[in-house]
Amino acid sequence: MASTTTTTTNNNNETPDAPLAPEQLLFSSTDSETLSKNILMVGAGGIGCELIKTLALTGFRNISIIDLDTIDISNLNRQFLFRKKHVGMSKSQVAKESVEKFAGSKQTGINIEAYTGNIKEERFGLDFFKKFDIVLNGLDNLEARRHVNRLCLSANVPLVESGTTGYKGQVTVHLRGKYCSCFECAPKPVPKSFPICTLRDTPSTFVHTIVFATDLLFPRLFGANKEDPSDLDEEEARDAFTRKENEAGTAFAKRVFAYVFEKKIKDLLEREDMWANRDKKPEALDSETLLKTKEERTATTGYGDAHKKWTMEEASEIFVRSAGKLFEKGDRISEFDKDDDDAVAFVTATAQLRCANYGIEYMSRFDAKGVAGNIVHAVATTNAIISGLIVIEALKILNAQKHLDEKEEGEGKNDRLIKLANSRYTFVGNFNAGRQLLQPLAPDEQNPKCVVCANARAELCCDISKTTLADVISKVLKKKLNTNEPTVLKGDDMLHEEGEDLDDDEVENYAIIGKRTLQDLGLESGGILCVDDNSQELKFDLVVVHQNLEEFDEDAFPEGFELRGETPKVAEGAEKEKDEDGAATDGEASDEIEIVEEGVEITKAVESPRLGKTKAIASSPSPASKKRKTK
Amino acid sequence: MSSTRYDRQMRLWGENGQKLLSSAKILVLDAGATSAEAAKNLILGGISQLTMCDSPKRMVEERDLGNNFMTSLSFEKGDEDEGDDDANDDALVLERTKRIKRGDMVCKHLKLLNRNVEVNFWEEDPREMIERFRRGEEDKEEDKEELRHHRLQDFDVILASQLDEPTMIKLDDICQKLGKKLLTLRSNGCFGTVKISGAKTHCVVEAKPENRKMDLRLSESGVFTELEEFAEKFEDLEAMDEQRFAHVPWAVLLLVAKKRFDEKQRQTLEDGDYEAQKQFKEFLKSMRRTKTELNFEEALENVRMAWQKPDVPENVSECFEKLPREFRSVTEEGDGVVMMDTETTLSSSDVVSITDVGASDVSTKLFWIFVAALEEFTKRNKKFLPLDAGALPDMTSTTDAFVGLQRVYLEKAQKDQREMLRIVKETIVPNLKTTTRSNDNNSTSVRHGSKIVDVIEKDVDEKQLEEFCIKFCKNARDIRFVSFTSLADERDIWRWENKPEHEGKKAQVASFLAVDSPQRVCAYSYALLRASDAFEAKLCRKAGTYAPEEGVDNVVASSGTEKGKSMLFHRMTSDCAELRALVTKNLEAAMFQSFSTSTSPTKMDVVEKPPSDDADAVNDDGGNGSNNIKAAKAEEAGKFLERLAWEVVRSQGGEIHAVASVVGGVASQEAIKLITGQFVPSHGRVCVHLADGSSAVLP
Repeated sequence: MASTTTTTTNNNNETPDAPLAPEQLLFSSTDSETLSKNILMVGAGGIGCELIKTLALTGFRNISIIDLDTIDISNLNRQFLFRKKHVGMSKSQVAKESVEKFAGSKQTGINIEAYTGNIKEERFGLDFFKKFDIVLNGLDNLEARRHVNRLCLSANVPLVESGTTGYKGQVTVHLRGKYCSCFECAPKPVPKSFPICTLRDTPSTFVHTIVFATDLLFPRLFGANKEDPSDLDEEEARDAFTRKENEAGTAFAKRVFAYVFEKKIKDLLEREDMWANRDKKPEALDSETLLKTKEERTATTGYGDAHKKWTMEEASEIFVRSAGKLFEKGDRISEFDKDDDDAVAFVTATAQLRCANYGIEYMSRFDAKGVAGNIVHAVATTNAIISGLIVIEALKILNAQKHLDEKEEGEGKNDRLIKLANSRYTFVGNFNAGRQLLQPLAPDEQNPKCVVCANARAELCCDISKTTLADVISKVLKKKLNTNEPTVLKGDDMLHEEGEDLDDDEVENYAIIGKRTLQDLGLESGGILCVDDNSQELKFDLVVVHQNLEEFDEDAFPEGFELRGETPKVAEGAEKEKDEDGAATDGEASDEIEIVEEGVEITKAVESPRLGKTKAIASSPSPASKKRKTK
Repeated sequence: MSSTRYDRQMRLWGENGQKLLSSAKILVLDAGATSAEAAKNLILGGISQLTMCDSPKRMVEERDLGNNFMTSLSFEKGDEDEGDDDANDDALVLERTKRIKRGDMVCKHLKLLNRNVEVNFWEEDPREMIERFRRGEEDKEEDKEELRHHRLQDFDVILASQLDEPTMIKLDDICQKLGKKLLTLRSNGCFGTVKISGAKTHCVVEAKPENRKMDLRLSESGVFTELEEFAEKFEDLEAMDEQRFAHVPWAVLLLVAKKRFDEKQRQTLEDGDYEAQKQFKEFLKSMRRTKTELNFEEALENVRMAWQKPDVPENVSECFEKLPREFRSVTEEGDGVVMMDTETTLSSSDVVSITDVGASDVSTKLFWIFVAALEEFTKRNKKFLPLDAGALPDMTSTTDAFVGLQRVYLEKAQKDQREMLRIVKETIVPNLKTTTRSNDNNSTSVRHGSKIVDVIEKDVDEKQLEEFCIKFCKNARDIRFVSFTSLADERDIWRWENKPEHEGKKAQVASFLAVDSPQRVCAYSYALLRASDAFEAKLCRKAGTYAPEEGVDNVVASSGTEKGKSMLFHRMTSDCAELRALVTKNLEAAMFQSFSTSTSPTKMDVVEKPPSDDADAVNDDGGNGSNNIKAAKAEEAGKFLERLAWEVVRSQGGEIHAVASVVGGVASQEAIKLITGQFVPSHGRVCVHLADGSSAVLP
């Protein structure tokens, strides 16, 4: 209750639990105690830049900022703390230096701690989070958001979550409690994923061809794990996709070209049963002719106007040339990067050539990049609005904390805090359709079925005679439920553990257990696995329900299992999550997440790669129709 | 380089939007926190040029360092600083900083944000500048040489921040005459507001709504020959194998089924009523072979489309109504019907000249030419708008069938586009010319008419005209124009003056002031902002402060001794009462009126929330009960006003950075909408009250 400013004298009639007058809570209670609180900012991207500026000018003095990313030129249209000369440098470090310079650290005594790293790293564990009074997210991917949410719940630190896309954005406040919700209480939209055989053999949309390029061909040729088994490796394909010793990059690229766009298509055509029920068969390209024409234009550099579509000859030449450049980069490439011009050109060319194979309408490099990189619109104006709102919510929480009885403990305390703070979920929209600019809503209540904060059970429906424990761990626990280092128990039996302190014997033992099916491990339909992740302080039960593999609808559940029932509908972005190895704070692609329609329910997201793509297609004339897959 | 820098935003407004942005010149009046934020966002977006006007007498102050990110301590040593020792460093740096002009420093920092943007500092007090332009004395001898090259007409959009209402009204007048779009911003404590005025209207072709309504022309009156012919190819459903049968696109399926349905039982049913749709659904279901064909599922979901009537959406018909008078006789003649009754059907204030709607630029003239053509098009095409081929959604189908269907729609869309172009060239333009003869009694209209024609004949070439036509046709369903209330009219409304033309808006304001209005915080805060301007004009000091000549340092008083605090508290309390009185003086009638009209129809237009039980109680209750409730509510309103007034005196008119960030963000966003002509800018006054977390668009 350490209000030092004069103006509170006016209003001393507050009862313990009644919300303070909003202005009083926001400004009169803001004193040096509030401003010296420890703040953790996760992400130094579009929102992060605005946020750290607003925090500094609001008077906050102790700020830590984490981002793993470096500065790219396409950041400069909104991440205003960065200049052209900073391209390639650490975002968090440059953000710190810029703010100190602008805000004059000598004058204000601001203390900014910059960390370059992935928020999922061990050093940013529970003990790290406990040091902070509030955590402010300016993230761009669901995986990192969920991770931060779990650590905030465990450390009992309030979380202010945010996202923007285009002119729209949102700010929400999360705590564990009955009358407040955690970030994962609300079902996250489910991005679409595609069956491999559609991508590989029967694409029918431009998106299919792009995903083929980014998820199958690119990793197979250039990825960090290009030696790993790939879905492209059919019998004779292994040779086609393996570079011979001393083979020039471009020569190898031509070989790949001839295989992918000609030989493979011809092979497919021979499988007559496959085309019996289809109206249209693919057409093989004439690789010899297409590749010959390029010899005369070897002098070409660059990839031309990004908005213009290439001719077939251009696409063929660019396929080979960009691949050649990518081979030269060698180990510096780990996965498809939307900011690598060569990679984008390669993917665009691949997609275009495959579109030619399958009679699909193709798009320009600019559009292809948007689809491939799941690029979300981002403008400075929305980020500025959102950052102001984040700071307001943070101030309300921090000030309200001072008015809570400190001796009180337990979950009821969080409920009172969020009520006292008059916290709001605020959605920023554009004025189209007569909407208000800001739509403030009361915070959601806890979802009793939330696995993360309400001790609810998750339910996995799969074929227990075919699903192995390793499948459950990699595809369900890690990809869908976003665990980091899960431990799995069946009753008292330890089935799985991971982490650096395991000895070799244990690792080997767990690997053997992992290969066994759930049935072999003695699990029946309705059986329970206990999952515990120390790194996130997360513990829950996974109920396993059996269903024969053949009974799964391949379109709805291409992976052959369904996570359902009492789990929050977790995003299935794992099928193709760009930031798999932890672009935890890649503030770049999208500083942004789900957008609320009509101010009531979260109905769609732009965050997930798949959904972004489906959307991109839906808004333009669809190049081709869906076909039901018949198997 | 620039395309990479702007990659992410071009995904929002496209190549064309970026092109418009990169040639835009913007003037910002005032160099405070809010304007600096707005300027920052615009410069990041890549405009061509930003000029910031700020008084050369206004030096950097400590409070600027505290709320304006575009100011910082200056560590560049001046000549007089030679040999200073470190002990005094901080104080010296501050002193040195305070000798720098605020506008100069802000512009320097702004320049660093984007080297592609030219940033200029216009050294003149914005108030004096407005006064100078108002007097029209810009060319007089006494004007300073360096100010001559600054002309308001050189800018595309003007932003003015933190100016009081009378000054803003003067500026608005000037901008209206020049047809310039003006954005006025205020940020005061936790309340902020942005309003577009100046030019009276803004035309939007690419409104980019989130949910576009589609018209696939599947109804009896809507179906066109080519589509009918395409559907006929699928008539023999029975002969198809299962695979094909399950992949007939639902749009075609509806056409085929509807034809059969009509042949069978049409005579007994009222067309399109619920019963007919229900029976048609059953009919569709009976055609299925299994119950799982997805194309049938999709068709069943879209049954109503078989009866979809042609509709001209409200936003489009509003455009027709507001068609400037130069076009009035044009379209009617085109139809061969002479109807010279425009003057009688529309009150004179509704029919305006194209210059009155601020149509000085090429794109606005083109917009109205095509609106006229669109009206003609709908008359010739049974009220149908040009087809948008992009509306065709993805559907379960074979690739062939879908691609074929796409082609049918695309060709029809192109045909409609050609027809629109033909109407423009063969009907609208010639008629605009001939109005010279048929409409002699209105010579100004004639003059303007031929001026408009100039656009087609001189300003745009054939290719540009075609491109515009395609864009216009694709967006025909979503075109709209937004009209802005002038600041002077707005003032009169809030003064509750008796002007018949304002009654509608006053009723809306009243509904915002109502006890149960969710936007009440914003409405009262705006009323208080106006009151604080009046207060300042009257007493030459900001509410809640001591004037300089009173010899009390406000900063010292607020942070100093008990005595200082109590003095300030006393001042604040009395000023608070004064502000309340100022608000009540104008709005008392409205405040009371609102209690009984809280469920009036105007309210429903602006407030989404249904009326609360409270409001119903007032209406249902009669006699004494009603009076008691009224008194209770009046008391509640008084307390509410007190709370908000207190915030005004507390903030002393200061800008808080978090609020400046939001208000600057909103203003720059609206400016970008105006410049790119995409998305719909707000027609009213955007208000945010951040402590309360609410926002409103006041009428």
